[in-house]
Amino acid sequence: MLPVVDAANLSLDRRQAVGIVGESGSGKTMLCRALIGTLARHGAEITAGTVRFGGLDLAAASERVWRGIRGREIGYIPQSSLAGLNPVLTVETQLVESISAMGTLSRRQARDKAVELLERVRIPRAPQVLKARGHQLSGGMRQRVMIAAAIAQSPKLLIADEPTTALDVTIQREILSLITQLRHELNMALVLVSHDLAVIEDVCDDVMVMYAGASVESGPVAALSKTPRHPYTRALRVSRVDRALPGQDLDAIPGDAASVGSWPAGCRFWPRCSHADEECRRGSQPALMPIGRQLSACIHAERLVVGEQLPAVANQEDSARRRK
Amino acid sequence: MTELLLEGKEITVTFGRGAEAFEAVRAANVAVSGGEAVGIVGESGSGKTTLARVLVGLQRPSAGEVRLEGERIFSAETEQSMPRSERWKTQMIFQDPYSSLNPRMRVWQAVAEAVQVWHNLPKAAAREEALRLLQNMGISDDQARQFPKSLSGGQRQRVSVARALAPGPKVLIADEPTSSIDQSAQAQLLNLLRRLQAERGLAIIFISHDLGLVRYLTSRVYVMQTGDIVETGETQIVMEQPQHPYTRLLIDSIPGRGNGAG
Ligand SMILES: Nc1ncnc2c1ncn2[C@@H]1O[C@H](COP(=O)(O)OP(=O)(O)OP(=O)(O)O)[C@@H](O)[C@H]1O
Ligand SMILES: Nc1ncnc2c1ncn2[C@@H]1O[C@H](COP(=O)(O)OP(=O)(O)O)[C@@H](O)[C@H]1O
Ligand SMILES: [Mg+2]
Ligand SMILES: [Mg+2]
Repeated sequence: MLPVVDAANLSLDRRQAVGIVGESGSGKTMLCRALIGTLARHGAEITAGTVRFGGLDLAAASERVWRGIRGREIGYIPQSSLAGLNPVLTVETQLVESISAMGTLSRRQARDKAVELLERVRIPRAPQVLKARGHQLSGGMRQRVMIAAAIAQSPKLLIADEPTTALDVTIQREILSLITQLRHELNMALVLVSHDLAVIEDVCDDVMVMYAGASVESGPVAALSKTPRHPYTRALRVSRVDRALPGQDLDAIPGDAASVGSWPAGCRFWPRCSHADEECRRGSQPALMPIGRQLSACIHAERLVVGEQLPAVANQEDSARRRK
Repeated sequence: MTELLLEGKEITVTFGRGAEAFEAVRAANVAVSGGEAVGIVGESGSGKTTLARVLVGLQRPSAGEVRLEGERIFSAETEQSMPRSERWKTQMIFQDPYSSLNPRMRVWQAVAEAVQVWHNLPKAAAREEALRLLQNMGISDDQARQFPKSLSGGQRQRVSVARALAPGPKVLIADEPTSSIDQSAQAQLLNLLRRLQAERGLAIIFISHDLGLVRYLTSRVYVMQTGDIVETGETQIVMEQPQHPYTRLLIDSIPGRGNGAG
């Protein structure tokens, strides 16, 4: 067995929204599975570390304990959930499944509850939609149904793994504002995984950045986007297309993605980092250390950003538009 | 003036029959020349993927035809599927990294199969070539030996890219190819596409709901809404002076415009 995540740190308060960004394959989804107790279904387990929720330690919790938490206290929208809605079953059949977990309800009660849930996720003509089959719904509608299932029991925390990846921008925006509204209505905390920093900047208070199984930076969204304190976070920002002109090469991080089983010694980012020196290659992945309002795992965090504040991309774009 | 490489003329696709029939794509005209990159944008369900599947020969149109290098190769009338000799020339990167890979095939096998089918290489050589293509996309030999289920979403999407490039196509249709990968991997892929475009004259049809990407990569763009192409023109002009209300809505919905969901 190989470790796929081994230095991830994430914490959030009641009602707080935290985003996770990171390289693909860095372990975001595995971390989510650890937080919802489904690692075993994917042939993995927690071998070190703690998962605290309220007063409970869930890292070693039994399946019986998890059944009381999953769905009820923590809701989950898995990555690829659009593929998760069964195309041939009706919405009713699929929603009633999450509702019946709430206890013994009559068919009638479960159905009323399902209609109420669809209305809660702003689906018009809910009774008709309940009769529809998965394949008859648009991507945006399907994602609303998945959200309805995840919040059926008013969880205190919602974990959404790339909930808008497969949707176009107009629908993406609707879904993100729905999630934000539900968060306020239900007093829910939110963990939102996205590879799009702009999405996280719109929706979350804090952000945690992952690279090769480790948290490399975290802190308030605004602070990280203005003064990233880890070279990987910085690289994510400069590789955005809206910072390049057509015909220009984009600033991709040189070198290959770090792969599980062959992480380098020292800081895992050093082979791709222009700031790396001898010290970076020694020992193991550096721990997160506080710097300003952030935490960074870069041992050179202090000298990283002197004199090179990044302009906020959104502002840049807006002013470009205004000039026209 | 480069000549038209791939052309879809008056493509219509109807799903279902009788009262339930509906047109997913209506009389669409699209074309791309060698070395050119064009974009197709539009909301989900507007017909982008369906149109792309017609262009690569996976979906027969109900009306219209597909022409490659001036020859009609696929149409509503033809009995056969797109001829094999033509099919390798147009390849597609599929949108959904979760359903586009065969779960029972190891990652390298999926790519080696594409190499072998199109180039008739012996098995060992095909395997070497597959591993090389995967390596280029940042998939290690170790990961190449896995089954798709133990790959992350972004890793699967990169496998799909390697498989599409395996036969050395003349036209690449990329259906939301960066939807599951992080921004740096996205930048790498875009740089790669631009290099293939410049060095090999690869024609690219880039389907995306990310207008920033389309603006960066393409010189012309088609905007689709509920099966119709509602606007087309030079990308820069369409972005700066959108004529159709739907195009304006798309442009205004780009995240990070300060009017976001938060
Ligand atoms: N079921 C599994 N069995 C073995 N390895 C797995 C499994 N699922 C994921 N992995 C590996 O664990 C690592 C982390 O995967 P994970 O899915 O958490 O990545 P991610 O950060 O969510 O990436 P993405 O942004 O592409 O979704 C990857 O290297 C992946 O190959
Ligand atoms: N095999 C199919 N059978 C029936 N309807 C389909 C099929 N494939 C796509 N559709 C429908 O056609 C329309 C266009 O879908 P699609 O081409 O996937 O749009 P896009 O790629 O723009 O999101 C949608 O309404 C979709 O539900
Ligand atoms: Mg993931
Ligand atoms: Mg599509």
